[in-house]
Amino acid sequence: MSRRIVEVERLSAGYGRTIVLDNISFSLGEGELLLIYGGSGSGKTTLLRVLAGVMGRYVNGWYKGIIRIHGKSPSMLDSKTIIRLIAYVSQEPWYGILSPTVEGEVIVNQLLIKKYDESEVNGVLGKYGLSGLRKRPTYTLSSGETQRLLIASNRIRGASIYLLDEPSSYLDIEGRRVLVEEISRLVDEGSTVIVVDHYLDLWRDSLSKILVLDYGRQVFFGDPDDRWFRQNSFYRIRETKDRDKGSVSVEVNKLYYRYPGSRIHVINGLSFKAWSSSITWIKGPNGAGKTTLLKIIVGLLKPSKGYVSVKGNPIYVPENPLLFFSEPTIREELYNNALDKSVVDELVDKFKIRHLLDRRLRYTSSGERRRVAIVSALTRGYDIICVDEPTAGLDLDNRLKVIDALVNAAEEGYTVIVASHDPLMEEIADNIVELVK
Amino acid sequence: MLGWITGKIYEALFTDVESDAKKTHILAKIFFTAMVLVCVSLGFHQSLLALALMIALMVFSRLTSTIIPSLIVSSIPALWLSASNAILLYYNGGVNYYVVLGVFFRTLTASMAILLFIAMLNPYELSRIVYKLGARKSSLIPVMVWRLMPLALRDVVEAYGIQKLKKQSLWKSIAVSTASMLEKSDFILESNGLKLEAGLVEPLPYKYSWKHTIIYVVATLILVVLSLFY
Repeated sequence: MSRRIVEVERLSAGYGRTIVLDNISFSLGEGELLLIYGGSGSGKTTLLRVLAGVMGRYVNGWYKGIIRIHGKSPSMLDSKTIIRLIAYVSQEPWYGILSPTVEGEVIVNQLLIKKYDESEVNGVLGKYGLSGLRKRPTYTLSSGETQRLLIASNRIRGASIYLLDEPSSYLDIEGRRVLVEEISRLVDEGSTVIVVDHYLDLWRDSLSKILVLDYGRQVFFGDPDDRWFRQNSFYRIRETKDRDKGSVSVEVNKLYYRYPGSRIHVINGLSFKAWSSSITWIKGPNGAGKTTLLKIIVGLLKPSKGYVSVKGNPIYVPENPLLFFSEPTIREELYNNALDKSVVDELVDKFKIRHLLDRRLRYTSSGERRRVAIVSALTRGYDIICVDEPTAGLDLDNRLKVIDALVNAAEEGYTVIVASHDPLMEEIADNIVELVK
Repeated sequence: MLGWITGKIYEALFTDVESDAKKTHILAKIFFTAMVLVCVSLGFHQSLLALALMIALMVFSRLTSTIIPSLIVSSIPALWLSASNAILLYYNGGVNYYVVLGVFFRTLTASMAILLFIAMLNPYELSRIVYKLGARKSSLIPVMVWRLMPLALRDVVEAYGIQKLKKQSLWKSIAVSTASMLEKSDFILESNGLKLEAGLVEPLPYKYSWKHTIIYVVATLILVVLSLFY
């Protein structure tokens, strides 16, 4: 048995009076990969926060029980020791980057622990395929590049325990494959990795152990066998009606787009049509121009060449749905500007959000926000709903609820255009537009 | 238009942090900006010459694409001040177009000088300065600001576009982007709090561009001569 690196005994944790984790125990050794799996509110992120040493320090919460990282409690370790040992990548990886450039980020992380060593910086940049990107502003990186940079930065600090919260959420299929390869390499090199993810099958061949949480309780911990996977890897989508497409509501013709100052077209001569009462799925790798295309359709960006003909009122629901809202509470957002309040009543029930009506939008989850944004769009007289990555970062249950909301919208006669990496979209899309990079 | 201007300003400030021009020594940038402001205080002609010199420097520093947006942004306070001046003059006996034009160009030049100074700031250099001033743990703040501002600006532009589509007022986009930023600040603290607490063990390495520093010094000397003899 390898040396115990992470040990957790009878751990409970929560926020205020709410208990989020109750009596969790497990341990992990060197070179092991643990997948934490469970629905929304099961305490996965809280567990990572406790292990990362930020609970009670930078996140307003508490924990009790025994935690040992290399035999010591994180609360006894100073900040420098924690960042030298532990790499914590939160659910929104962008916020883990401190510097405006790729090379700068690696240097900053090196200088958090040791003195500047140019050859080590070059070595790490090379090892993670970032040499060609060293001068790139970090805000222009794709999700896959961001994950790679974070791993490289943690590597140069010498971190040997990796806590990754939903690292595959914003990645395309290729990005996910590369991520699993990189994580497997870390494990082979002796690192201990704990991953929270909703995509069980993605980690199936690499993981050593799995911890299943359900509403804060430990349901399973151990080495899962094939039978376990067969029982737990299924999903079910509400059977969709065979929808008859309505009339053409969006026609994209020989569309080209390049960002001001750039010489490269993000979109190159694209043509397609979208119909009312249907769902159009725009798929493609990170950086292929999916978001750009949605923004052109709704008129937030102007095409460089070609045209987009739109019959109806389009609206855009961004990846960060908070930016969509105009009012502080869900009730105000839905009822203040609705064309017909009885339609809102009907949709509130259909989209199962009545219990949320008086909640402030700030205190809603990502999945809830996306469903509310779709209802808000439907009740304001828009008939073409363009939604960007509606299921990113959601667990299976919430993904299915959002997918249900999109199907509902199409069945109500709306034109739904979705840019997404989610393979589940294939099950509900009437037509697929595939963008290549 | 607003999106285009924001985009350009954002480009000037936050892209190309590693460009040689931005590696001009900070003292050279400070003296140059100070001399432009001295020229502005001296008069209309000196301001015009300083403005021309600044535009030449922007071309040389590969900030050409930001000249027009910077002029547009700078012309807002310039128009405001010159128009108020014109109104005051009108009620006091008659408009002197030369004076009004003078106010316009002097404000435009001062505003451009400040924008250029900000556009030429380098977060890594600022971090070194903060570190050397003894605030070791705060030395990551300039680096972080340059990292986060583009994300915040992107939110503002996106929220503005969506509120426009929803036919809502501009104020609502400010409210939602502020709410989004508050939320993000929690994520940032969660991910980076321990790093900020630990601080850097030594200042960030930094190489100045002496070529650009010399050009700034020469430009400053030209302004000194102009202000003394013109």
